[in-house]
Amino acid sequence: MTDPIRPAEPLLVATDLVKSYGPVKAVQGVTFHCNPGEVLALVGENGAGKSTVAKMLAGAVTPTSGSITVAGEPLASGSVKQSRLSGVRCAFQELALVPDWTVAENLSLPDGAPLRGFSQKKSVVKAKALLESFHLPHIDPRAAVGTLSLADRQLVEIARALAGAPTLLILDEASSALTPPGVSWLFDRIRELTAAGGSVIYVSHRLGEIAEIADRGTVLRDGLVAGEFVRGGWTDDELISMMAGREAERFFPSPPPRTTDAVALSVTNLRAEGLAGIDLTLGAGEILGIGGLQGHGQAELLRALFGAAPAVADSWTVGSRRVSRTTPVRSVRNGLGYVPEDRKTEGLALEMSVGENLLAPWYRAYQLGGRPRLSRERGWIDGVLGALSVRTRGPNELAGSLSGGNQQKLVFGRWMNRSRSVILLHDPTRGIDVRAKQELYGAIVDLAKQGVGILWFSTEVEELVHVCHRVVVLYQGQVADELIDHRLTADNIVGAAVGATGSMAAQNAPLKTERAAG
Amino acid sequence: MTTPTPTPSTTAGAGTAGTPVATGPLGAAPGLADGGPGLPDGSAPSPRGSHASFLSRVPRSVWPLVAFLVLFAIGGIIRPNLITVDSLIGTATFAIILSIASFGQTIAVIQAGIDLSVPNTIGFSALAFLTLVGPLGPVGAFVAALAAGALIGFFNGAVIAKLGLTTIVTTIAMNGLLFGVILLAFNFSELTVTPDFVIAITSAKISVLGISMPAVLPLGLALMVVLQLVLSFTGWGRSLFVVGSAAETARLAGLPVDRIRITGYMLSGVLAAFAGIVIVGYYQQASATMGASYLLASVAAVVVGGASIFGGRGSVVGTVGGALVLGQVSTLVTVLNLGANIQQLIYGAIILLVISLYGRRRAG
Repeated sequence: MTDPIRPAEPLLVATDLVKSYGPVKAVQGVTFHCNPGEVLALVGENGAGKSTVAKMLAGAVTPTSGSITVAGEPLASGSVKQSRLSGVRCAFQELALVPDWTVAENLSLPDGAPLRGFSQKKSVVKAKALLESFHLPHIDPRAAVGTLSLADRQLVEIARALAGAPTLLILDEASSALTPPGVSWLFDRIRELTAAGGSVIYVSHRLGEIAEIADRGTVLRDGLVAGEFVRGGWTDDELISMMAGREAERFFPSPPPRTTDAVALSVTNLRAEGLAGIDLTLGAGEILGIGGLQGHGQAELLRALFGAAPAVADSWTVGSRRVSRTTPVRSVRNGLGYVPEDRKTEGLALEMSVGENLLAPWYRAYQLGGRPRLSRERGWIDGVLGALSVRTRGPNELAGSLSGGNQQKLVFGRWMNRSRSVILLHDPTRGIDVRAKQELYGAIVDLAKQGVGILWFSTEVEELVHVCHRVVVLYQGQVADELIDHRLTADNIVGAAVGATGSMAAQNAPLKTERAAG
Repeated sequence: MTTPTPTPSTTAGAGTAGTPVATGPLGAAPGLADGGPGLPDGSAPSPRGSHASFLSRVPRSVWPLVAFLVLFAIGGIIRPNLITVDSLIGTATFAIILSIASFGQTIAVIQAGIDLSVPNTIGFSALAFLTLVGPLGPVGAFVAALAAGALIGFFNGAVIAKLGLTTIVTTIAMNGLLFGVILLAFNFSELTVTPDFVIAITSAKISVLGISMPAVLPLGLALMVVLQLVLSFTGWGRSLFVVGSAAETARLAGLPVDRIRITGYMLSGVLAAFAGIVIVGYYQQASATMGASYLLASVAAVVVGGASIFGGRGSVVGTVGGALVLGQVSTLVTVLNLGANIQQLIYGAIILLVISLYGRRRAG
């Protein structure tokens, strides 16, 4: 893909990196290089492998195969310390700071070798000088990191990486929590570093920032390099298409025609942690997709609507019933069903039987449970297992012994034919095989036909495009765009998810000018 | 009647005796554990060897009974005169009293908790019962003692469910608090008279199928059957298992998790209080520290009975089996004259052994 021997010897060369987690290949052969004094962007959708690549460079993850060299020397893989000694520093997306420690303690963490003494006083003085040299005088070195705002914590994380005077700095979504002045601060630091001959790998999905700071870029998709670009030689649309890809059409059922205008769920100005005011209306029999990049409020939205996380709204109705605050118990009573993110810890009791897992929401203290209840409900259980083609030896088999796809079907199946009016799905097809996916699609469409409103958060864009009536894309806890009919395309979903279209562009002025420039 | 005292004795012999206790359940343990959930993703499902699958189909609560029979046989080999109905009844009586004290613990453990306030709940209810027999009459005192147990359980449950404190800290604090109350509130010199009806349901000899036994034995077995039916076949019982197995799953399925937890601890408290009255009736004495030996013993009975200390698995039938194993161990300790203070040590060793063998945390 790239020729490692160039006039200027590249600082970093990554060749054929592969990382597999069990049968899942997160990264399947990625090659790129980065020259001294250069900012290289790594872009891609969720799950494209950006973060895994960044962690391999930082030494936090050992590649399954492939090699990384820094300044001609092979990087000892799998050791953060070795990477650090080679001059590689990384600021992670998930903040790697100790919340209960002060800023000063955190800043001295990388060098605070356990055998050396630690002086609170000296570390504060050092931290203060450091923060001032990075133009961050507003951060108090004595403050516990947990008390800082998310943006300030991110600044501390970046400052900690910069403090090591790295030759290669990896910023993994490091700007995700920063405000616009924070981002320009970051860019100033990056320019200082590159002026001194250092290199930066900038992992992001914010096209505006990439246009401004990146000299070159590599686009990842499904763990592979989907393309490369150089400064000024790309447009948002090209990049988005590269990120989204044009995969061969897979089989997706179409959403059923809607027969009613009845509203199953409606909420205005829903506020919760991670949600900055969301308006949403879900019709009966409608499949409403929720799109967006990871961490922009999709999970929070589903949890808030189900009452699993505290939330308030200006008005909130389920069917014709008004809701003020809700809990999962009330939500189930109101006709909601929820398929949570993690089937193993949130969806199933793995040590209990298949039948009991299906019945879990329907147990009442004073009614029968266990085997007598199972035989009484045998018709319903067999119906659900049959409709979803769950491969099991029967209702008495332990849920934990089923495959992932079949487990997911149980979490979904418990809400079938139980007079639900709304079902909330958190990426139900993640990590399951194609056949199980199609069986779930079929079941989702069938439920919609019965008039159940389906709110479906998916990280797979193609699902949203093909199986949903309508898609709402979230960005930073708000609705960035609503896509329907001819506007419902993969490019538009990805575009809205990275903040490149619709209402967000208006709010994000710098982004807009850069698009014009690009 | 060879009734072992609550704290019999000892070691070398018990060491050898302890081994079969463990190996009984152990043979099956790999099969059971592998069939269980939570394997690291991608790993192979349980081995499907016919041997392993046969063993894994045997209910877990059977293994302590097997272990008990092995120990009983060992006792017989050492002292042939131990193989008698009287000896069996003696051990079973000791075991059933321990079982009654451990039923509440079983319920706490199933919901992924533990009730370390069992000992002083026993003491408190016993002393409260004897104190109140005068003013309230036996039935009134009985009801009041159980109500006190329910109240103690309610506090435990409410603090754990609503405030989110850990069960160990909460219940051990409650245990300490109760001990203080016991020392402050009761006038021990007056507590001597045990009401007749309590004796009638505990130490009085009755004849079942021509075999004479203390009334507490059929009483405990009846309680076991009722509790097992509640745990296995009611919505409440099954919900308790869902909560213990995966609390977040239960919450997101819309189960009233807090209410289930609190009622679970209340039942645990009521059962411990009942145990206190039974112990008063059987031994006809009460003291501030009368429950102390049940702290370790109740946990041991539950764990040996096949319950998972991480919740979601356990049965009162298994607990009775576990108590029988412990009872037989203490009988052997007594018979072999190994000294009275060794028993707690053995119980502790058994708990560690059983937990390390099949109670390890599921990967991830």
